[in-house]
Amino acid sequence: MSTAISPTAYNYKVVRQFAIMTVVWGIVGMGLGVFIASQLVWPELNFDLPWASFGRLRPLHTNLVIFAFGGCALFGTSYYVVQRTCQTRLISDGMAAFSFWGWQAVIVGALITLPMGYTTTKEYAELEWPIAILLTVVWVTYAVVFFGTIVKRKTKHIYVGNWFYGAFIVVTAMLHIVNHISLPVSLFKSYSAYAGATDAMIQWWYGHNAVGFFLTTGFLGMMYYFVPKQAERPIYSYRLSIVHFWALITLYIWAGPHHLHYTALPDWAQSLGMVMSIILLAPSWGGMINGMMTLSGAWHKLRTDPILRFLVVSLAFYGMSTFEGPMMAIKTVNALSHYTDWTIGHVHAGALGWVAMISIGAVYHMIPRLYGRAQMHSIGLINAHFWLATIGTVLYIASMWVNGITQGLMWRAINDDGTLTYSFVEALQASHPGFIVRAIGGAFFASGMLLMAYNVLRTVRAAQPHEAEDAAKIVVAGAH
Amino acid sequence: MTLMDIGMIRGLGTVIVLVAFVGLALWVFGSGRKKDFDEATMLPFADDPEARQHVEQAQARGSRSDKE
Repeated sequence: MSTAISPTAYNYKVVRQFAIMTVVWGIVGMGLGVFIASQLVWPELNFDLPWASFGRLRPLHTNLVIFAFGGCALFGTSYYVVQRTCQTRLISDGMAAFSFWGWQAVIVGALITLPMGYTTTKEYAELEWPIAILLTVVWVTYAVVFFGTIVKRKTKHIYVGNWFYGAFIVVTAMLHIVNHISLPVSLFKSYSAYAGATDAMIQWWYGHNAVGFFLTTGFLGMMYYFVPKQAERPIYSYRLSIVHFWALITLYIWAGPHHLHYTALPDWAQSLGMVMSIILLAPSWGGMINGMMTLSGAWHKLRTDPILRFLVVSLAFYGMSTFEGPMMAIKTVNALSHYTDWTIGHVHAGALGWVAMISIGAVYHMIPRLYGRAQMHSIGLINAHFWLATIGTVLYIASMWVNGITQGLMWRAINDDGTLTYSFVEALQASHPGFIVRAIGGAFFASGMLLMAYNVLRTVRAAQPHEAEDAAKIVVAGAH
Repeated sequence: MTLMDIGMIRGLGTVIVLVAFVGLALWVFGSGRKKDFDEATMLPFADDPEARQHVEQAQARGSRSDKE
């Protein structure tokens, strides 16, 4: 096997920037999550200040963890994966830099406007129109950089991970633009172009595909690169990955109506959403099995490699939450679970267990390679982080299951004469212990991010500039 | 009652998706594409000589040599 050093190098600068900001925004977003979880335990923590109230900080928490933490992880890893699997540099350093600084500007815009109370009131699409337009410009730039790099690839094939990243970029643009069409009435106030049940349907078409394409398809792109790479084994079945891709993107787009069961949405649309959600189990588990089976014959690596453990446990949580989701989309189950803490638990099984854990694993994989180091400063600290994250997630989900089922049963209980057995406040009081456990679980998870920050800081500090420069050189393994 | 009522459109939609899925499965599992897929599946290791060596050693040891 001969290797030749190509005179050109990957653009690692933008990947390093996004990787570092993934950790920073992870701490801020998850820390804020622990704070608002504590507000639900001790309501005095809103300090009677409007901008510190739960209603304003909760959307900031979701924007920070989804778009700041998750978004930076997706930008960073997609730029890393597309360069390395296409064996070429990003088409434009300037546009890549614009996508980084533009994305940070969007996040800072969210940090300022959401606590001030400026909101479209659409969940996960709260940012008002000037910021939404900036986001569109940044996203289109991202798409041009990503697909442009694929076009000028040196390899014959487009690796399957890039297919997932590509679908995530295209569909996110479509969802964001369609859902945000609105009429501005002032600099920070706009009204949706849609009305009534149509507005609700467009919103949850967006909302569920923010889950399906932003929080799933993008991170599956991550999975298809980092699991095989970290395990040093090719993906279990490349054929299955292609079936997985097309089945997943065909089905996900129809699942949105399950957010609107028993509402003014037409019944046929509710049933369609339910059926499509149940069928989704097949491609979701196909993908999970493909990732898991990549380790067949190499399970022993999990004993010594906490990074691989992050990646594989994230797949386990992905499998669990993609089973739970279709089940909750069944109308009769939804009649019990909807509007309860079960939904919040389900979301966090996906967000903490799947999205955050696979991102954390991917960042631990990338950081030493981006800075020309053999490995992270401390493997022991990665292991400690892994256990904090796992225990935190389990505490969070378990407490929300208990709370959700308690709330659902108390709300639907009626006496012989048809009156409600419990008042709302009684169900709230019954939820208090669960709120405490949830805050503790969240604190476990967030404290793991502090260990990560320290570990990343020490690794980056130890890096020599020339080592980091060498690491970016494009090495092409020749024919053998 | 026209031919193209909503039930007919839904039925055709189901048929199109079914045909697309069967077509995809036939295309993917056709033996002609094995070489392409075997190349593509190695792309994560192609620019990392060390990792490539480890993967090839593991494959040579035959732990999964009889797969597909």
